[in-house]
Amino acid sequence: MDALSTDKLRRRCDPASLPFASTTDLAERHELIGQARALDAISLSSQMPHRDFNVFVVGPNGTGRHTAALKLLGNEASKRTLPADWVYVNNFEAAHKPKALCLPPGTALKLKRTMQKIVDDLGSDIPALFESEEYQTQRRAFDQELGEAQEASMADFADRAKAEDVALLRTPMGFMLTAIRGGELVKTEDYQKLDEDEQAEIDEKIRRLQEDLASVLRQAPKREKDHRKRVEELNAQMAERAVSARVAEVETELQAIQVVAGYLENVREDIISNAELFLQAAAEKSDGPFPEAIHKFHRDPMFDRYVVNVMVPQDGEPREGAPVLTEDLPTLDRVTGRIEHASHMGSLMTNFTMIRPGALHRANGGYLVLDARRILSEPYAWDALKRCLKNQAITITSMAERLSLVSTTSLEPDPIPLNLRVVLIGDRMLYTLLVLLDPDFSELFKLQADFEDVVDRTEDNLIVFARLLGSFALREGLRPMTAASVARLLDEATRLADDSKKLSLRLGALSDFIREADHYAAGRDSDHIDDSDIERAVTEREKRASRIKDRIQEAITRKTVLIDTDGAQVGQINGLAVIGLGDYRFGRPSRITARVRMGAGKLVDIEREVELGGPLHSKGVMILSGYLTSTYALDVPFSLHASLVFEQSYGGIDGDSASSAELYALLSALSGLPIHQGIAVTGSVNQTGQVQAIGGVNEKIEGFFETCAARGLTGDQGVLIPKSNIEHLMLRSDVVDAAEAGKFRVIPIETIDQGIAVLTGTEAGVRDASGAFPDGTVNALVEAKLRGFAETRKAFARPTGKDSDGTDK
Amino acid sequence: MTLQSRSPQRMLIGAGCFADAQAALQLAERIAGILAGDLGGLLVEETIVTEVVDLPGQRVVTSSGTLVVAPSPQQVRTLIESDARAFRDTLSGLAQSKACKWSFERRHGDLIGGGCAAAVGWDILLLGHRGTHRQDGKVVLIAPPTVAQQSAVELAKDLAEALHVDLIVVSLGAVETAVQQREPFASEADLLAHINRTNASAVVLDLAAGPLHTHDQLRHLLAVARCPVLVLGAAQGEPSIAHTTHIPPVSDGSEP
Repeated sequence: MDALSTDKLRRRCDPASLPFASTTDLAERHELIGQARALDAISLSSQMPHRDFNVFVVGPNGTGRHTAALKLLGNEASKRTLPADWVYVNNFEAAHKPKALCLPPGTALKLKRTMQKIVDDLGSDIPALFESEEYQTQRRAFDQELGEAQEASMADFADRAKAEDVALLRTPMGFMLTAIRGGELVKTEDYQKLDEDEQAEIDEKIRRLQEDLASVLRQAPKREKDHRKRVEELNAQMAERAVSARVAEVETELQAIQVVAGYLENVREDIISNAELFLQAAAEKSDGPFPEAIHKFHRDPMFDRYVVNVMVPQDGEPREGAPVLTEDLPTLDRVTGRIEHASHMGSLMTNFTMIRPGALHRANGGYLVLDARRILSEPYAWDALKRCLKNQAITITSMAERLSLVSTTSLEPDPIPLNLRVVLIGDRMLYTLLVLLDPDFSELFKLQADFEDVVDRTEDNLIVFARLLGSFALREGLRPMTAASVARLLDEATRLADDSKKLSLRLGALSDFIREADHYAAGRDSDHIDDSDIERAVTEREKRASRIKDRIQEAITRKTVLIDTDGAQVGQINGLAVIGLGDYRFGRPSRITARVRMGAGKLVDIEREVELGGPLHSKGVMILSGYLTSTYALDVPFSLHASLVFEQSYGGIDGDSASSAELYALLSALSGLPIHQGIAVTGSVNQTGQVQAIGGVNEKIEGFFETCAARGLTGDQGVLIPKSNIEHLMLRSDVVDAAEAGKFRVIPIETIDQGIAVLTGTEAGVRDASGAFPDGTVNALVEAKLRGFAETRKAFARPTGKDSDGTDK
Repeated sequence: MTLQSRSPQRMLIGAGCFADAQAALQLAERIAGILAGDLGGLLVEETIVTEVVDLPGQRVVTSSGTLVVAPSPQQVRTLIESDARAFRDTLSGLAQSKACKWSFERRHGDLIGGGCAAAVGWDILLLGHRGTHRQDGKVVLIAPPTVAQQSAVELAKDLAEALHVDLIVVSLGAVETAVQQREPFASEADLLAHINRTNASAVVLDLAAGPLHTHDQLRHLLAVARCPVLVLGAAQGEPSIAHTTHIPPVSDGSEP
C-alpha cells in the first residue's frame, strides 16, 4: 500500500486565501457560528409565554453556551416590562405567617422608607401625647375616680357596720365581723351569756353585713376592669389621633395602591392597640449625642413588627426590562431564599424581617441561568427548584427544617407567585441522566438547546470564524491578529476538532491561545499577533502539559519500556494508545504480543482475564476471534488456543482501536511470518476483516513518530491507519515535514489483508476457485496452521488401542 | 430639706398578720430611698381574733369577696405562725437589700398598744393595713397643732414625693403648717369621716404632737384609713404600761 501524500496529513489554511491582512480590517461579529439550532431553542424558551418551557442548554465547555444564552436572554429581557416589587410584612393576626405584598415596580423601597418615617415620627409623637397635660389630667381623673369609688364603698360599709355596732377585724385569712356591746367587742364567752333574742339579732346582722362586705369586695375587680377599659379607650383615643395623622401624611401615590392602603390600615390599628411600645421605647431610649428629634426608633427591634422587608426592589438596580440573573452558587438557601435565626437567651428566634430572598425572588419575572452540575450537587436545591417551578410559587423551606435537625420557631411566609424561565447549562451526560432518571425533568424543561462541538471547515465559515476571533481580540483589548496568525489558529481549531473538514467550536480554548499569543507579541514589542505567536502558544501549551508524555518517551528510549522500531518479530506488533489528561491528549506505542498453540478454540485476552481490559476492548478481541473462525479452516473444528497481551501495560485499557493490531499479531504467530516493527498499527476490525475508523488518530501517529524520531528515523517507519481516518488527519508540522522528507509514512488501509501484507511483506492471499488460498500467502499459512491444530486435536480425540467395535486390542 | 439628708430614721413595722404587714413592707420598700435607718418588725397576735372565731355562724370574708368558714383557734395559731415566718423573711430580705440592720419581735395582745409600747427607741412606727384595691391614693398628713412640730410634715412631703402622689393635709381646727393646701375639720369625727372616704396610700401623724394622742384614736384612724399609717412619737403618745406590768401587782407572798 502507498503512503499518504503529505497534503493529506495536514490541512493548511493559506493566509493568502483570507480576505484581510489583519483582523482590524474585519467587521465585528459577536454571534456564534454553527449554533443556530441551539440559539433558536433558547430564543423560543425566552419568548414562550407558557409555563414549563424552561430550557436545558447542552454542550461541551468552551463553546460559548453561557455567553450566548445570557446575550439572547438579555435581548429578550430588555423588551419585557419591569417586574413587580415584592415585600414581606408582618401578619398582625398570625405573626408566623408573614404576608407577601405585590407592589408596582419601584414602590417597595418607598414603602419601606415611609414606614420607617412613620415609626420614627410616632416614637416622638406618642410619648409626647401621653405626657401631655390633657392626657395626664384625664388619666388622673380616671385613677382618682376608681380609688374614690372603692373607698366610698368601703366607707359606706364601715358606716353601716358602725351604725349597727359591728366591728371589722383583720385576720390572716381575711376580714371577720363581730358585734360591739357597751363599747366592747363581743367575744364567744360574752355571746353565750346573751339571751336568744339578742344572739339572733347579732347573728342576723353579722350574717347580713358579711354578705354586704363580700359584695363590696367583689366589686373591686369589676371596677378595676372597667377602669382598665376606660384607660385603654383613652390610650387608643390619644394614639389614634397621632397615628391617623401620620398615616394620613403617606403619599397619595402609595395610598392609591390597594394592598398598601390595606396594610397601612392594619398598621394603624396595630399601633393604636400597641401604643405602649412607643412609650416603652421612649422610656428606654438612652440619651445619645444626638437630640431626641432625630432618634431612629425604627432601628429598635421592638418596632420590627412595622418593618417592610423588601424582597425584590426594582429601583435599587438601574436597569430596564426583566432581570437576567446567574446564580453561581445555587445552594438551597440561595435559590429559594432563607429564613435566618438569631440567638436570643439560648433560643433561636426569627421573624419576618429575617426572610432573605433567593435567586428565584430576584429573577422572578425574568430569567434565571444556572449551572446544572452545581445545582444538582447542592443538597435539596434541585428538588426545591423543581417544586417551585411546578407550583409556580416560591416557598421557603430551610434544609434544617427538611432534615428535622433543629426544633425552633419558624415561619410560614406566604408563597410568592413565580413567573420566570430557568435556563440550565450542562453537559450531555447530565442531560441524558436527567431525562432517564428524573421523571419531572422532561415536564419542566421542555426545550433542549444542543450546542455543536464543530462546524464545517468551508471557505465561508473560515471567514466568519476569522471575524469572530478578531472581534474577540478587539473586545478583550488584545492586539489585532495578522491573516497568518488567524490561519494558524484556524488550523488549530481543525486540530481541536479532530477532523480536517471541521472547525472546533470550543472558543474557550482558542481564545486562550489568542491571549497567550498576545502576551508573546507584547514580549516582541509587536503591535500585531502573528503566526509565530500562535505557534509559540500552541507549542508552549504542549510543553507545559507534556511532562508525563516525555517521561513515557524517555522510558521507551531507554528501553525500560520495550518497543522495537526496527527489525521484524513473529507474533509481536506495536499498537497505539491515547492517554488523556484533561484537555491534553497524547499517543504512545504499546507492544502487543500473541502466542498460539493447539487447543479447544479459546482466545485468551490476558487484559480481560486480569480485569485490566474494559468492555470495549473485550468486544474487539471477541470480534477478531469471530474473524478467525469465520475466515480460516472452516471444515474443521477451531482448535486454537491463543493468548494476547499488551506488554508492560499496568493500567486499564479500553476501546477497540487495537483490535486490528491484535489480529495482525495473531496472524503473524499463526503464519510464522515476522511483522516489521517499524510500523505501528491502529484501527478496529469487524468480523469481515474490514478496518474501521478510530479516535485520536493524530495523537497516535505523533506518539509513534516521537518514539521513532528519538531513535532516529529510518525511512521504513510509519503507521497503519484506517482509510476512513484520512479525513481526521491534522498532524503536527514536524510529522508532516518528516513524511515530506520520506522519513516517515502514514499508510491507510481498508482491510486486514492489506494490513498484513504491509506488515509482513507477504501477500495475504485470496481463495481461488477451489477455495484454497494461494501457497505461500499469509492466509494459506494461517489456514494450514489451524488445520494442523485441528488434525492434531482430532488425533488426540481418537480412541487408542480399541477396535472399531470398541473392544480393547 | 428632705429626710434623706437627715439622720437615718429607724422604723418599726407593726402588724397583726402578714397581709397587713405586707402592705407596710411594700410601702417601706418604695420609700427606702428616704429612710435609711434600721428596720424592725413586730407581729402582734391579737387575742380578740381567737376570741371571736368560735362565734356561731362566724365566717371570714376574703379580700376577693368570698365567704369562707372561720378557722378554729388552733388553725388561727398555725396561720399566725406561718405569717410570722413570712413577715420575718420579707423583712430580712428588705433589710438586706437596704444593707441595714433588722430585728423582729412577736407580742400578744392589742396591735396599737403593743406597737406603741414596742416603738420605744424607734423613730417611726409603721402600722400595716391591707389594701382593698390597687389604686394608689394620696398621702394624708394629720397636721400637728403647732408649727414647731414639723417632723411629720417633712416626712409626709417626702413620702408623697417618693410615691409620686398628692399630699393632702387635714387638721383639727385651723393650724399653720408649711404645707399651703390643707383642710381643717371642726371635730375629730369629721376628720376621721373625711379620711374614711379618702383614697389614701398612707397616713402620717405625730402621736406626740397631736391632734390625735391616744391609742383608741390611733386605732380608729387605722380602721378608717384602710392603709398603712406612719406614726411619729408613738412611744410618747398615750402613757402606756409596760406589758410586763400587772395591775394590781402580783403579790410576792410577803406582807407589806
